[in-house]
Amino acid sequence: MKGSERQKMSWSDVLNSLLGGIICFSTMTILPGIMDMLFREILIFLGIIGVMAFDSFRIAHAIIFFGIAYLICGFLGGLYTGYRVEARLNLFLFITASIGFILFVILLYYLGHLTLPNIYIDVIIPALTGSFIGVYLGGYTIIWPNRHTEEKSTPTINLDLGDEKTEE
Amino acid sequence: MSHHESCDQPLKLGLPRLPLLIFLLLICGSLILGFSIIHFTVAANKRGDYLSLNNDVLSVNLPINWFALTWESSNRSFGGKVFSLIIFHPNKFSAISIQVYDKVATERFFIERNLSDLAAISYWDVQRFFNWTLEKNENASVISIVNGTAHAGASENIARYSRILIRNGFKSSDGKYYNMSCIVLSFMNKDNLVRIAFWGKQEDYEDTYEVFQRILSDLVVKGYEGK
Repeated sequence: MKGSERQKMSWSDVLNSLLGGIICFSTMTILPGIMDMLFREILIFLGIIGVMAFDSFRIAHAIIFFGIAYLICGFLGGLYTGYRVEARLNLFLFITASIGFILFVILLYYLGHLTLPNIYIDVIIPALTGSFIGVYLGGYTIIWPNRHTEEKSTPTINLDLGDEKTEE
Repeated sequence: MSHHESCDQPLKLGLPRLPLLIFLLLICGSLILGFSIIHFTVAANKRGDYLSLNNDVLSVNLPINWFALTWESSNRSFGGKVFSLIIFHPNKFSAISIQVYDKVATERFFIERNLSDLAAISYWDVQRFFNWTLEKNENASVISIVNGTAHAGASENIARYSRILIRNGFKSSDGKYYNMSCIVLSFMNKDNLVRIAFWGKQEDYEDTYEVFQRILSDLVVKGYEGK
């Protein structure tokens, strides 16, 4: 009975981590486009849009989009998974990040974007690092107070188990 | 106590959860680092209202407030690489493109398009441009085509050019038609074919012609072997 309950829970955990991945993927299809538009508007406003021709701009763009787009996408997926999943969070966060990223790469493939020049530095690398780091940070943001409490309470539990006199 | 119960605890305002703090720091860090790189790139290459782009293929001055994109494309089947640069005004319909072909790509360009010389390339390009405008407006018509020779680049390569003026070639968002202009220059720099095109709505073309002249006069094409 206990075992079947555990199995049932783990299936719902898998489902929730998949949903977390879909949240991550969905935001990855929307947020980078919006941020790209805003980013270009800022460069036009600053009167330095010509800087886009430089190789160093490509690196700067990748770093900025890692932070303001893909990290946020991963974080949102991680928040959902962290909130829903109770056990083996590391594994399920990994599933969430993998699903989000793989679906995103499949979308790029079907849109024909994978053959574009500089696609790895412009999109793939920021998306990979951003989604994985973001998912773990999102998941751990949810469980952080719990971990903190567990760490604090651990010495007390050991004392109770080891010391017979306390029970008397 | 499950961690869901712990989630009900309000966040302490003074001390955010550590992962959230790392997340916010990463966002701020990426913005600071990214914009610092952009700032230093601009500061290092700014020459008045222009940015000096200097790479392995060419050296050119670009207007600082125009969109500018560069990329390198290669033909996987036959080899050969092409370096492309396109710049366009953010608010006007006016654009300039520069393409530099390596030796293999240059040979293939002539063979595949069955073109014999530079004058034929320029003429072929403006015809292609006219066909493109016909797709937008089938009533567009050629007002004039002028062919000639000009000096291009800082090294004053002799270029062959074709200039076309098209009636009603551009349809604006309010449904009005405007004339379009396009000039294409082609020249050889050692073994490399260089194609330069400048096109736009007639008024915008004339307004930005000075920028085109500046780019053309400052352009230095280096030997392009392809990487």
